[in-house]
Amino acid sequence: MTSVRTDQTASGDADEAPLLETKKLTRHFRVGRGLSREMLHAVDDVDLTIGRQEIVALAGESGSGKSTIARLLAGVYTPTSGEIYYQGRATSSLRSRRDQLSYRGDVPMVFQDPFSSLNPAFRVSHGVTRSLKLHRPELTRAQRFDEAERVIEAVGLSPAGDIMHRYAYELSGGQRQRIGFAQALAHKPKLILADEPVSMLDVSIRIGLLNLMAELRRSEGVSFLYITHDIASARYVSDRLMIMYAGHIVESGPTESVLANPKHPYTDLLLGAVPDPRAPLTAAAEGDTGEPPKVVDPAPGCRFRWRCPLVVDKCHQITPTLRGVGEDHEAACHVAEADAGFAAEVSAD
Amino acid sequence: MHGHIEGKPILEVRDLSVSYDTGDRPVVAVDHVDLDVHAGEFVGVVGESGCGKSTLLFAIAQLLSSPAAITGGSVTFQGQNLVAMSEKKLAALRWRDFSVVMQSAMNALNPVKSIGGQFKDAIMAHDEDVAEDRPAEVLRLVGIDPIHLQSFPHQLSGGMRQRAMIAMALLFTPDLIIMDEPTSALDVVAQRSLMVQIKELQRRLGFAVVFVTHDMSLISHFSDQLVVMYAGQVVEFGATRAVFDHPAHPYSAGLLDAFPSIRGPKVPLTGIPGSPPNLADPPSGCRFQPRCPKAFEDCPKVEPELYQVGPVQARCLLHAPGQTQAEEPVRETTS
Repeated sequence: MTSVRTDQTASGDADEAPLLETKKLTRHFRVGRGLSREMLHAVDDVDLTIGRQEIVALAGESGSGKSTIARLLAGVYTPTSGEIYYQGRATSSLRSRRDQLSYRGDVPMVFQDPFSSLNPAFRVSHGVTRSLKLHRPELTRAQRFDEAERVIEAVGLSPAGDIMHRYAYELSGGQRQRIGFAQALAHKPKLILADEPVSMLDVSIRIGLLNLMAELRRSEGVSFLYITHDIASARYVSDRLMIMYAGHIVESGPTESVLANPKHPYTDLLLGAVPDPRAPLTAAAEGDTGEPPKVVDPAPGCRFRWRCPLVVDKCHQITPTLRGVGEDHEAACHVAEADAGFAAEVSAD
Repeated sequence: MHGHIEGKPILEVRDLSVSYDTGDRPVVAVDHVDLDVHAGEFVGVVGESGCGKSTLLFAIAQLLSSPAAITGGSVTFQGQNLVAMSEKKLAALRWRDFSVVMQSAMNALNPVKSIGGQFKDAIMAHDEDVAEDRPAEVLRLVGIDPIHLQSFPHQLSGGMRQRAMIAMALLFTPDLIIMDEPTSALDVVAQRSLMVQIKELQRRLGFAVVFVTHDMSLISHFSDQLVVMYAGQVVEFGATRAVFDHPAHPYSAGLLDAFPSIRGPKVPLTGIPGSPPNLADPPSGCRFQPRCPKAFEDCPKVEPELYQVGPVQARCLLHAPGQTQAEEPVRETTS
């Protein structure tokens, strides 16, 4: 594991730094009534890295903090602590409006619900050209419309000229979500934050959107952070997979390696929950009726311990951290750690 | 599961048609649909958005409101035709003998009333003599602590709200529960545990379920009979396992191939190209023909009927008597 980088070294060579990196990213929310000081730990100490032209999937249940991460990266929330480095530069050091605008243009977001994320009062062209006006002011009006047509074609909607002049209600759910991608694509982004982009769509349409993400990565050179609760779709589209539970990343690694050889019991649980008509009903998922806890002022210990079939004493006292369990594959689990030959380290703690 | 069920069905839908009167051209959302549900059976209805599956449910429960109206056919529940029944008689039957679980629990529960208060409303409306601890009992059945009788909907998680809805549907131990995508707002883990729970409750209490969803994989392990709908029509019908193993209609095969698997080799998927037709102006001949990978020259000309294909029925000309292709199933599942 690399040590926490300081501002100075991190802002060194923009070409060698990963596209986006977070260090100990944390976000807490104050909850409760009135003067309550209770803090909900939505995201705790998250280190993640997204490379150029890479699709990274972030998977977990509702309430695990995945959307909070997307909003932190998009600049909607400011981190409680920790730092986001974009091309080697800390985003907290982006002070001028120009720098902030350029970051937001480089890292746009696609929202979950295509039925409420498009303005019903305007034509489709409005959303696309408006963001072009903001992020690429050098374009003339005619160029903006040409560019809008280009991105609408790029997301697989044609004829673009016709689609552009429609209202959102004239489009199907899948088409609307493609417009969501077109809006993000308009400002030549480097990384698109896709927050459950297919979960509101019919199963038969989802695959088209997943294929679109892979296609845009190839043709436009963008990276994706693909947030989902459906691990099968993560497998289909992503290079790397991170599993999140109650604010912590509990497992991360190359997608195939994580799924073929899951180390964290929570990953097992998620895998067991995927309906697969080609396989018999798995026993593992049947007994589980738990939900992720609301992590308010947590005591140390593994946050999965109440649902975990492998729980040992240590899980109640010490919060596990991500440790290597295979090539480029990490898990935050005392049991997995011991299995991976870290037994010596465990007893030394 | 139940296998072949003898005896008279508790719900018989015959030749049911529903139209939305939208000015110049009525939209036929449910087109001559037949459906049988036996006691204790789990019937899944699958199809894409806009195929008429929710309209079918609403028509069965007689909950359609203008501009939708039943234009033909009958819905016979326990020997009584619901279509011809007065609203007063229907109100007595609903909830007591058959109940409905709606898609969005957040909208279906009253946000300014506690869960317990909503149970009380239902009991008062039906003038039923139920034990005082019945609400607590049904909540326990679905795995919610009865302490939540005092809770308001916003204090429960999405999964718990859906469970509370199911608890309400169970209040008077109905014989039939109609469910309209009750799991679509939930994530996969909550979804799976809710499905397991519905199946377990069904085994214990013996009610029948009609379950509507767009996700064919979800019900693969839970339903006994499967109805695949496309553009207002039933395009395939049969035992769930038979449909999954040998889908006879290209649309069912397409639905089955639309989701990635977590096991086996990673294969590029295409889903079903195109989108469902406008029901105000359906395509000629077979309605699936413009999107169908197996379409041939007759498809735009001849309107297919439901043909018997081994253990299932399919509305596809490939299986029409006299077609040479009929011996070949459309797709063998990869084992």
